[in-house]
Amino acid sequence: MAPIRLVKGPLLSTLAILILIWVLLPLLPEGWGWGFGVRFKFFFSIIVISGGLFFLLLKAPSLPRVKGQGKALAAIFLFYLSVTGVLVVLGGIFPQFELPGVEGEMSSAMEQGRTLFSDPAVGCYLCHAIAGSGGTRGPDLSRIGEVASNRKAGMTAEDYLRESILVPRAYLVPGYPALMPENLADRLTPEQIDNLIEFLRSLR
Amino acid sequence: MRTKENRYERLAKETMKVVAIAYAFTALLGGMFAFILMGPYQQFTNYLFTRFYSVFSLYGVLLLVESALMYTYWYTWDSLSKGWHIGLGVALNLVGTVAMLLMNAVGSFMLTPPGSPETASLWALINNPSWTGLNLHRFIANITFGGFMVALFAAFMFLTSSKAEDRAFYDWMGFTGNFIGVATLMLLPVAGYIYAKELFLYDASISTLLMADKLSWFFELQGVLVGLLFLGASFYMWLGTQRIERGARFQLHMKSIFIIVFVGTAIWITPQNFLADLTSPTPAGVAMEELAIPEGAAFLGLMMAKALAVTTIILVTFLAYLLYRRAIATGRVVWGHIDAKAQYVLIFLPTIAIFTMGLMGAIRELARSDWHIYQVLPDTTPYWFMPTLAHTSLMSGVVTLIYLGLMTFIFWLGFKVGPARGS
Repeated sequence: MAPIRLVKGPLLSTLAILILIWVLLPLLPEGWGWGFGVRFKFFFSIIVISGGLFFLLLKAPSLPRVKGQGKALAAIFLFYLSVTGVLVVLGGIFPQFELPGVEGEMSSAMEQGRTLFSDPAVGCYLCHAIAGSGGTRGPDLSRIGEVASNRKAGMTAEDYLRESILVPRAYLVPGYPALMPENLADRLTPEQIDNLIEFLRSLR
Repeated sequence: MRTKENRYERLAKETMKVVAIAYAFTALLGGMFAFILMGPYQQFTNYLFTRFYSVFSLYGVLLLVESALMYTYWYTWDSLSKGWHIGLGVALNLVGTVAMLLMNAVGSFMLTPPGSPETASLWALINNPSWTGLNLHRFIANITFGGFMVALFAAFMFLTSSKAEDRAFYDWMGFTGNFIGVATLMLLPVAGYIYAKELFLYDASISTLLMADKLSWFFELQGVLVGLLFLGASFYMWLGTQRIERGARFQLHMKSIFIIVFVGTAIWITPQNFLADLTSPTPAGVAMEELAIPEGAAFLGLMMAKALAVTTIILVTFLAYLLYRRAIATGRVVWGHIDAKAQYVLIFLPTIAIFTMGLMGAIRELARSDWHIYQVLPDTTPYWFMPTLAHTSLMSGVVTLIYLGLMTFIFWLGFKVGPARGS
């Protein structure tokens, strides 16, 4: 019975929290906004189970000293391998981004512009979202093709977009800070800028 | 000098023996690194050597001075007065720190070059926007790392010693090294925030790449690693109460600390969503609501909650130390009288620290995307690609194992092959 008494506390606590996550939390009214998806539930469960295992470790008996230098060295190396191995596995099971594919032949200026927009080296998407995908530091560009022609009086959509890219401080959309880089004229070729504008104009 | 206890002398001497052997490997590996870079990256290395010629030259001179100082420090250990000996030690640290600042200038320049680097002065290149932040972070981390290396050595020696008096000494040594490591570890998150803030002020898109885009899950793993470091530090304190007479009565209080560390780490690493980057589509058949944090719990994904969590973790780790101090004040410490698990914790902590350094180093390099020097010199070699977290973890794991293997070899070479000095 002694071993059961030792593990009872951590086991019961772990089970109780898991029940809270999987059974009780989903019972909360939907309007409260605490409906976690399955991935989040698994995520929290792993943390809780790790905690339970740690508390079991607290109750574990003392580790016997390994006698002999050779055996001690082997135990140390095994420990190095185990800890590092777990970390490598952890890095492998987290979400992984898609590696950028090799650029094939682009069929249109618009597609080239789209690729440029998503290129981390240019970084447009890091601050501007399109259809919910992208950063939020800059204005949402999901419908920029529609709004560009109305942003500044007397300016066409193409002219407005070109000015926004090359001289971003010329007009700041209200509510957004002046964070856009001002050196895109040096970083992009005229053709790349034209392709980017072509892509942005298509967003309606 | 203050207590005249021989154990401090022995700690210093044995640590220095390891340093002396390791220093040679550092110099060799540094040279190898430079030569390897020169082959495939000629344009980049030529650019750097041209712009930072004085810096690299001074760095070489400092390494010579460092070597001379180190061997003088070691070989005059017993012949010079303690005042001169400590003075040499201070000089050794100062020269090493200046050498680090010089290389930090080159590293930080690559990510945050000043405007118009072609015409900027050398001082402007050195004192670039992220130099100070990197200096602060690395200076503190050097002390943390040094403490953990002393602890690693002590754990190795404890586990491979056959004499009880040696195990008592190495138990104390491990405690001392770990104390230095953990004390400065508590300052690292602050230094990290300062560095990240400098990057944000330089170019906000770097911050988005780091925290919301392709490198966001690298930071998730970093959060796990730092949580493990603080948990390990508190666990060591808990185990340490075993060597104090009547110390076990503090263990119950320490369990509360463990719970807080777990909860704090959970808050710290709770992601805003389970998408790998900003442009990842949701998997087929899975709604965005399944992958994103629900509205009612959105605060868990915000920086304020995470900053509070990490501050709490740091404070309770300090509390664990205070409890340990209280135990010492009311009981007698019997060094060596401790579960061997404690020694494995002293191995665990540097292993995590080294892996974290590899991961964070990768983050810093990858933040430049496909630039050798951010927005100045592009990397157009066929070797450029943005590695995934899985690939980065594997590389960091390999480097960690090589490093640990090398250090264990140095410990064995210095102390197990011939008669041990200073014992």
